[in-house]
Amino acid sequence: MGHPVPDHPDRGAAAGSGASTPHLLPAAAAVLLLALAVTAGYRTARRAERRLMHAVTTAPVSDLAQRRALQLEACRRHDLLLVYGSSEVVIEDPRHVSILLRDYPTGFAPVAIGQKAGRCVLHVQHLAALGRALRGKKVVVSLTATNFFEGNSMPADPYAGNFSRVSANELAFSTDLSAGVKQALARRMLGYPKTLEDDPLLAFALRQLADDSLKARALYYAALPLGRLQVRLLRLQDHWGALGCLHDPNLPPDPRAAAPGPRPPGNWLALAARAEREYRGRSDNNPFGFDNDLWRIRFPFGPHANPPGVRDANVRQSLAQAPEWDDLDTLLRVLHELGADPLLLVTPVKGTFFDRIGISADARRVCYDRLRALAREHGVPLVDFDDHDQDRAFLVDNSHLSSKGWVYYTYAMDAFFHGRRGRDLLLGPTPGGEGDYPAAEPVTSR
Amino acid sequence: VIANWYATLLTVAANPWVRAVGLTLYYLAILAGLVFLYGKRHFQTPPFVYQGF
Repeated sequence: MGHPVPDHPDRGAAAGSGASTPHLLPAAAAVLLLALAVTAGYRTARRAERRLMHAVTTAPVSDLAQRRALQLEACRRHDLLLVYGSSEVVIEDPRHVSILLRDYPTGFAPVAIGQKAGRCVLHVQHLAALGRALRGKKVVVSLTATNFFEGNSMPADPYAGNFSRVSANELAFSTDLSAGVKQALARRMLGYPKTLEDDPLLAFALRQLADDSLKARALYYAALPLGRLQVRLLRLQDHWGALGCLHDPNLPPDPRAAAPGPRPPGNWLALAARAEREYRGRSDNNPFGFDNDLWRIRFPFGPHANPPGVRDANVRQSLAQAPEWDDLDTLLRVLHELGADPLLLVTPVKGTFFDRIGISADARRVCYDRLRALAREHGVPLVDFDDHDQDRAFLVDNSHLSSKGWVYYTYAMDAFFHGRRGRDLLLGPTPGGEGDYPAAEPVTSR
Repeated sequence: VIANWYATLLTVAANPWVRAVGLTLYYLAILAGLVFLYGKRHFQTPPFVYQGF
């Protein structure tokens, strides 16, 4: 039983006048106005991305790895080189690649896309999110050798802090990647459930992808259209976020305008020698070549010295079970399926320090050899700088490049961008010659 | 004065065009509110302390 509903005064008046649905037109008008506003915002964001992309090369945008729109714009430029990596890529140095190549001296500039505490499990998501835009695009991935010494998976906090929802959705609902690759990625991503709490559709898709059953596959494909729609919405938000970054008043002007134009590269070896000389004065309070300030902070009482090789067994076990290997394998599969042209650069281990804490050169060799084998298996060129394992001036600590290290890194990137391969990626004496820089053996490109 | 204002308001509100515009703005405000509420957090990741450097 209920009360009779009194007639609304409008109802009688509107009957037969076409206004029996007084809310319909205003609602449609509101949706239309919103659509127009979104379109205008999207076009404004795209214009800003096109206009300001080059400024990003000299003043790296924070959270660039989580800005797919900007990475996509960099992909479209023939004179930008995407450089993915961890903290070593974003931590400032007077000879960082973005400074050495700031004004396009050899015709290109790098876009440094690094994340502090980043690992392959994150790089692969950001790269996969670019999809077909990577086809034929040169991409550099910087790896940290010490990450392969850690037997455990990446901790949840840095993963969550570096996670990108738009990248995760792009890969989960990608139609460019094979089911096998998506399954491998889904299984890894499900290991970080906190990042999926706010996105039930993504969590659902990843669970179906990780499952081998026919039912799971059917459910995934049933959710795919909705997922693609969600991806579209996230892309809009991504453009909006990029617009916010690019409206930073401190963003410098396009460096190309002030660039003197293409010119032959300088003497790289002389630059590296100068960087090494300068670094000596900043690393003289310890015998390993750590930066003085970092050494004071990290090891105020010095490192715990161990007999040579005493930790080798543990380290070999960690090396054998480090999840970073599988993640790197998946990353290389993704790059292959998307048609990218990758180069792997590896920051070597600080061998002098590892010797002291009981990890021998033989144990370290396991890491370098396995990296080379993996790169060879995928037909990807790799420069591991293992000849700098004992170099005091190549790293400022256990994993971050010094100015000298950056000169070597930049040389390899420059050579790679200009199509050189094999030993030509190495800064040093000509192959077969004698000198201070024994050549590593990069894998021949495919 | 208030009674006069109220009467004027009622007269204006009775105009179908004014009602349509008012409703449009009302729906637009709801949509904008939804975009604001659910759009912002997607790019906010939890902070963490980087201890590698």
